[in-house]
Amino acid sequence: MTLTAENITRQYFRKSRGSNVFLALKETDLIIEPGRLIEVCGRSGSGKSTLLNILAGLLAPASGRVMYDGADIYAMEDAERSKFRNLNIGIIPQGQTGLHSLTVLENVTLPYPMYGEKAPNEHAMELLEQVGISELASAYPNELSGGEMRRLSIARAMLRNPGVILADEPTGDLDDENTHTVLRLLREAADKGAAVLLVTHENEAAKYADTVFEMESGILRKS
Amino acid sequence: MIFSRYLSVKNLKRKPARTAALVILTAFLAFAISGGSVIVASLQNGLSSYRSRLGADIVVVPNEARSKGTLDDILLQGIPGYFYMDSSKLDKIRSIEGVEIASPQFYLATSSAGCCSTSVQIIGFDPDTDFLIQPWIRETYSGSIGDYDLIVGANISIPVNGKLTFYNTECRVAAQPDQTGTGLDSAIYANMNTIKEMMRSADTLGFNYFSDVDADHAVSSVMVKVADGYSVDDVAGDINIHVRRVEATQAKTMVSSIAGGLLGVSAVIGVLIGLVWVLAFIILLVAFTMITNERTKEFAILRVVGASQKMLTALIRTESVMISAGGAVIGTALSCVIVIPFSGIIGSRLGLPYLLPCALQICLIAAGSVAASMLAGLLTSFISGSRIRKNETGLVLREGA
Repeated sequence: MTLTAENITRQYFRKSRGSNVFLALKETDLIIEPGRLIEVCGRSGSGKSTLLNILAGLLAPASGRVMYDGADIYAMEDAERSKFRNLNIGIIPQGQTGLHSLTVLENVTLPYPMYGEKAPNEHAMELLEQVGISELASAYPNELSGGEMRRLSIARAMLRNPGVILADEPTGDLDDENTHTVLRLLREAADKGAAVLLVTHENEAAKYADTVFEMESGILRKS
Repeated sequence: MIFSRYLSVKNLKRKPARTAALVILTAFLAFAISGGSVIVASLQNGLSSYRSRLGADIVVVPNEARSKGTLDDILLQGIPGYFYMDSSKLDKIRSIEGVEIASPQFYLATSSAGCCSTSVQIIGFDPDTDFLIQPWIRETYSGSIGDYDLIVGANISIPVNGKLTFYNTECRVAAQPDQTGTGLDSAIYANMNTIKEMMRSADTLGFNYFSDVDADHAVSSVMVKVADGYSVDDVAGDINIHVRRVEATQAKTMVSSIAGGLLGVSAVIGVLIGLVWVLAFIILLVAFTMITNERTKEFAILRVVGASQKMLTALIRTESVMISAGGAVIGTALSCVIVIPFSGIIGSRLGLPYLLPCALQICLIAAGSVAASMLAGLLTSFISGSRIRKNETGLVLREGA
């Protein structure tokens, strides 16, 4: 699946600073083709997560279009866009993203019951094994460390073998060994045909990426 | 819908304290609505029953009835009382123009002494002229009420041998009519011969009930039916003018004074139900809004995984329905368990005619209470759900809420 961003921008309104409008993402074009892993690095607040959320269909751009194989995701109705995201986009957001009422296994298989499908527990257990938390399958998120929670999120994003993977600081809370495991998994996903966008501070990530971009003050440049 | 049910059950189970608090709140609301409604309906039923039991156009009692237990006390609350006038007054009442039927009644308060089985009110009637008690008794007892036969009110326990003795006069319990919700349920009925026998016996035993009235010629009240074409008001006025030392009161005046009291109690209960509903709605709204705000990140995660806005709204609504349905059923069931078995105590405390509605009416009240309680939960979920729609997931994730 090819992900194309055409001329996208986004601005925020800062209430605490009067009517000051802050341009988080300046006119940006980006194409991620199947089988490619693109890394975007940059300082905090440079606009990396804004870019990722716009690409994920979670934050409407002020202008421009985001297309998946030519289909404009923001031209879709919310229900259609949501289902499209469920089926085609694996998102690893920042922070702790486990639902507290579900076990680790139920959190990982969550995309399936959402649309009435049977949870693929065996495949989910394989992924948990790969990220090293299979023994925590029946634990609840409040029993996990930050790193374990990140790995839960990674396993969930990869469960459907999606055409596009958007990872926002996926190695943030991980030790070196697990950082490499996660980066390797993302690389393997790209090698199997997924279009992968990796937003990270991690220096090691460049080794796994096909192209590295740098974001600075809302402007995306090739490194 | 299946997913929202799946996740709602998980959420409610994982937050037992929060779930229990919301269920208790809704239960309290349902309890107030159903309990209050059953009480109001019972009062209305009681008034209707009292009106049909009273049945006469005019009630005539001796002047001293006020000091020796009023007719209201006897008929409404079943408080034993007695007052007598000479039976010659009955003849005078019958001679008044416009009086179609004048039927005497005899009230005898039994004693707790050894001569009586229990302390109750006995009401005697003249089978030849009575147009009030016999029609009511015939609803459940088709036989004749002979001498030494008793008809026992619904609130009175009947001994195993079916015999009751008052002033050493042993009688047989012939029937027990349905509940009326009035003091009549706590009284015993006998024909004129039987009660006269008891009155004579009481006099002989030294009970000083009759003062200067001869027990053989004592009458407690006279129930008057006015002939067609005559004004009840005029006939009552004529009785008061022509028959000395009696008080003729229009029955509708007695009923309307009770109806006034009942209206007041019903209005207070109605206002309380409304206030409780509004208060519970506000508390539920605040609680749901706070919970929804707390769960902003959770909803953002669901959006990331592919949930639509509609799914999130359905999730909140389903949780709300589960909570309010649980609370509504518990509250309504509790009110039935408390208000129905204790209806006797509630009725006597209110001092008004009180008759529980039929099973169908109680079921309708219960269904209405469940619906009203669930409506409060649903409305709050709609309001708090509409707040989620305003949140842009990307911003929530960016702010790390």
